[in-house]
Amino acid sequence: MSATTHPNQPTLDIPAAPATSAPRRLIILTVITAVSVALGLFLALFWVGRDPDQGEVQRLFYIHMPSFFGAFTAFGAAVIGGIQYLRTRNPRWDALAVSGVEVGLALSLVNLLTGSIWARPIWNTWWVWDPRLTSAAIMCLTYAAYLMLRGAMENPDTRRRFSAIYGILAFSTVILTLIIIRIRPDTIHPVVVGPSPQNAEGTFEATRSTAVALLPNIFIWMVLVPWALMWWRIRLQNTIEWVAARKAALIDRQEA
Amino acid sequence: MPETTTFVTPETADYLWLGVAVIALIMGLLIASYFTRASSLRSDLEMLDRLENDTD
Repeated sequence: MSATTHPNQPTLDIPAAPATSAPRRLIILTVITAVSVALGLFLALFWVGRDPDQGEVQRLFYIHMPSFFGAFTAFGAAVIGGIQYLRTRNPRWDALAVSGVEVGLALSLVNLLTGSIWARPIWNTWWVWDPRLTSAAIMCLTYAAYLMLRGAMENPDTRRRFSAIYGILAFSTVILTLIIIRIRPDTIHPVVVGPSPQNAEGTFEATRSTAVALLPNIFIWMVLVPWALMWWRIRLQNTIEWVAARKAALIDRQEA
Repeated sequence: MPETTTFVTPETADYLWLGVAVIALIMGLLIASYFTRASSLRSDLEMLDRLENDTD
């Protein structure tokens, strides 16, 4: 934080002006991410063979599962940002937290909706109140509420403190969604790693080509996509903070 | 001759493309929101510059 002063006016804290152009590393990461997403989609949609039991819709799995892991990465970053903000009170950690929540919510919506679309022909329904589906829906609603409540708070310090605590607690819904298919035997959601429950519906055999299409997509959607999007969002948040501080400083000057 | 049944792979391509469209829509909306917010901030900055010059 840097302090700026004007003649005959009180000292006002304004964050340092964010860089106007994106850093080279971010540009490179963005290009690599865009190319990788295109490659991952090619592997999932065209390269890997068609599942004989489920048909073409099974290809959604190559994005459905990795997008959940991407949400896990982003929501995990929100936890780190929240803990670090509470320790240091540095708004840059708050920027990481809100970026993680926004990106994580988008990725968890991808996960939830692709699952629902897959379920329509395979389970013959768009939605069932299965433990896994319900916990995933609760997770999405919890993080949507984070953004709504955060947006309703005027005081920046209160908003950041509240967001940090909420973001840390909300991660329990992510953990629950992750483990629920292993602790609730009544789920019909297939387990990808390990044996599925007896009543799971819509499982498929993982062949070598399945792994070739799945593993790159896991890396792309779990690492590249969330980090590239969060980096851009952090830059945006830094600019939002800077503009807000300048507005407050200008109002103070005009009132003084 | 015993009657034999042949399993036919279901035709589910429409659902695949619906899913792809939803993925593109969600990620596109997120990225578009970055652009619109950045554009709005640029307008705010121009206005702040003008107001600060007027105040000075």
